[in-house]
Amino acid sequence: MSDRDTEFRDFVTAQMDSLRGLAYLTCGDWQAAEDAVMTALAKLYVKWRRIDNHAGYARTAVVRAAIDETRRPWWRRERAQSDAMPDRPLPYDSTGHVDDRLKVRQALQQLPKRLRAVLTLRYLEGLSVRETAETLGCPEGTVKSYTSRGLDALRQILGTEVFITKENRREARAV
Amino acid sequence: MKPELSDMLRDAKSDAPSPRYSVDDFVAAGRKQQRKVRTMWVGTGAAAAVLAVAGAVAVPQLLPGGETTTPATQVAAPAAKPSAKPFTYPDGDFTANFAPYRVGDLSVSKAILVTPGYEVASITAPGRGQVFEDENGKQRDVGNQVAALTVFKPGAFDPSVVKKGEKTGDAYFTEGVGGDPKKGKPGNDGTYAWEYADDAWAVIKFHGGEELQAKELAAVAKGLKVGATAPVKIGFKLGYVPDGYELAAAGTTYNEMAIPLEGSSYALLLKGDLPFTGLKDNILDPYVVGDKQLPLLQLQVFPKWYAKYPAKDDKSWCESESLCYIAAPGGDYVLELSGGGMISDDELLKVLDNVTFAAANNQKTWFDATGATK
Repeated sequence: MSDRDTEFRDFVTAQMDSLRGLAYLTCGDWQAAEDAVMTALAKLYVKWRRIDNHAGYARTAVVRAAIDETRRPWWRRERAQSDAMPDRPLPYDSTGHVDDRLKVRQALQQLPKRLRAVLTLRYLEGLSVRETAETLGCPEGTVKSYTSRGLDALRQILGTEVFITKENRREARAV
Repeated sequence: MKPELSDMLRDAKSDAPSPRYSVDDFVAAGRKQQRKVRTMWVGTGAAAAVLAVAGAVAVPQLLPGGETTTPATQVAAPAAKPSAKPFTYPDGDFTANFAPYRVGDLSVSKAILVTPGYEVASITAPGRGQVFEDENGKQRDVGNQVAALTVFKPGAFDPSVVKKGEKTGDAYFTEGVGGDPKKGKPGNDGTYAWEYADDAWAVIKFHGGEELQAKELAAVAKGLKVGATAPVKIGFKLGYVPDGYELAAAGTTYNEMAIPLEGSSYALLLKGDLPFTGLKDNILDPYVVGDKQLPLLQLQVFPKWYAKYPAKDDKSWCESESLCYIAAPGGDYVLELSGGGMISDDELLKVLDNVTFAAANNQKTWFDATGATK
């Protein structure tokens, strides 16, 4: 096994869950999310030696693929594999925890994908405004605007306050 | 306990299903991609560079010895004629009137996308574009788009952003920035904007990696003239339209920065008013008014080879929630309908089951977009 294969395998093993989650929260569909990750990581493999920041490249490629997923058809071969797995149904939950999860998902679904991507990158991945702008290929002002609009929209949809960490809250005030 | 957004996001993805791809699958996909890239480097000569585009692989059309090809879908435009009429925006919301023309090695097409606020043409050049490779290794030439020209209706465009660019003559130029894959950084598109009539603007947007200069874009701007004025047409007609949805964009592609595929056509229907005033750029997804995305129906016909999903006989079907398809008669083309999760799949299937197709490869049979989406 080549050094690249070893390094790539280690990277995939370490980053897979994070990248799948990022794609899922952006596109709202586990199958589409996994397809997006597959596309992004296949590209990363080819460029492995020419890229210093593997995680940054993968994050950018995954988000962009997840945003585009429903609008850009691709190989039938990949589809044949994705037919195999339906999304897992939510189990019954007497505590209401699953209910809350479902509400949050439904609220996210009502946001445009780019707003979802901004909120996910900033408050799940912990990226700064500048890093988020670089990932999405848009101006920092757009990230600030999307952050503000996304948070307001979530508050309205959920009918409750949505809190962010102290560090992120300071950034949000700069909007 | 206070609902913390980071916790909410973490929880929203916490019941992930088991991964269906293993680490081995990713390595195999990467190796396959690597083989494709190597094959095309050999086939297209040492001057070729390689771009990957969402599951397809793209290469510039440079042949050994510097010879270039002209894509099948791209007809060389005539050089701009000084006698042609100066450009004026057409009457009617879905009417196009670009005259195709050529300046140097840049060709400006007829309109590829029309909205109530603007019309768009693609700008192509030899030797700088892409071909796609399908799963069987067959390469498909889809043209060499380097930029898009958007001409806004008078009063529709707010030039405050483009005016931040460098003033050059009567225009404003912002240089493109190429991406840096080594650092994982994307590039930024460049723009060239000018006021073609009172309170009426035109903007050329070009890919950051293209080294287009203000001088050659000024020549493109000068060549903009009125051509045949006609309603925009699409290759399908809807027999059923859900209540409240109205046409908001039509043409041969949804993405003005990508050249249309041969036989492709596109229509976007929105439910609710989207104001086409004060625009600072073309309207891309999401179609948002205030904080809310308008319910939308996006319909796109494309060739079968470009389809991600295999057709299921002559029947309509939904691959996932809000993403449904039907094959055109003969099976060479597919109509994709995306509802954005804001309309039921039953409604989407009803739309598809009542579609009439024109011959995708014969635009003379196409329908006026306005009448075809009522």
